Amino acid sequence: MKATVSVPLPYADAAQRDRAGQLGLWTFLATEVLFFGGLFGSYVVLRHAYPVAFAAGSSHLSFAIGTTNTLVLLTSSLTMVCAVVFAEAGRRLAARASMGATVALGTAFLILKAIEYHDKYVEHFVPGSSFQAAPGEPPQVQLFFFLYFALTGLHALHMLIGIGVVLWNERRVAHAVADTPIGLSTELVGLYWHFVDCIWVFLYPLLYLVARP
Amino acid sequence: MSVVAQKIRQSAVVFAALAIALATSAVLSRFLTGVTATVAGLLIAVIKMVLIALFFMRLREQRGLLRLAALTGLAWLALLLGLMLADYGTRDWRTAAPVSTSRATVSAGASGNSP
Repeated sequence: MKATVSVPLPYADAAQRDRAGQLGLWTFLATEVLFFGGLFGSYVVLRHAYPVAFAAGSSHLSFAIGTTNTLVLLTSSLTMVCAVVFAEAGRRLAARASMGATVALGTAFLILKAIEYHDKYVEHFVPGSSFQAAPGEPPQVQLFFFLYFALTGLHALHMLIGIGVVLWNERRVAHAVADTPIGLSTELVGLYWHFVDCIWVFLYPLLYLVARP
Repeated sequence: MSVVAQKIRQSAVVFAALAIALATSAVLSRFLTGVTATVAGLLIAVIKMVLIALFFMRLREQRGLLRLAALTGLAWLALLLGLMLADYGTRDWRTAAPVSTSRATVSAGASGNSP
């Protein structure tokens, strides 16, 4: 009988344990919102001060890579949802396959990001002593690129952590014994993954769609 | 249809909506410029976030406490951005007089008031 499955202290039952886990993860995500919030705030202030420079900076980013990466991340969220549904139903193999697909899509995202970073490096758009604004463009383009690297870099760090956590959970599901709550852990990992997706959903228009020619 | 198939089908529909939103955002950016483009891009981003939060993150089926915890993050963000903009919006920082001049004015005013 499911109701009699023993749950370690301090929880009275599995439902309470699940609620505690969900509340803890959502509280953590609220702090993550603020983590990114400071950078988004800087973006708003600086873009308002230097609209021409931000439009110029944005025009140097690859619209194709930005759009493809958005689609890749949205798809990875779908595979993550599938992993949660399968894990809750006890279909471990399907859950692991879905997590594998999520990791593969997350890695594809990072590879595309790396290609774009490399392009910006070659074009001297990395802020610092080697930065060179394109002819006729205001020097504050460097501010745009500072925010571009800070925002996408912080996001990429979250992606890396997300991939690590999904891989950890995949191992956990693979080696799960009877009472292990694989549905809960997969759901919590999924919440984090979707949050990172949400951040990108806002980065896409703010960085890539400022002024399309 | 099994519960699993039903849930995955629902998620696929939400994904299709997200993909359409992305395509709309990408196409609109070709035609819109300036403030309109930014507002449209952000509006579509908000729609995507709401879809992800309600369906993929399951806020739709959660109890009040969890929804409150989720909204708290947004409330803090609103405070952060709101106060930040209130500051920059009221200090008139781009057209302000040089610091030395304004200090002189303040001290002149202060000495004028003193006996």
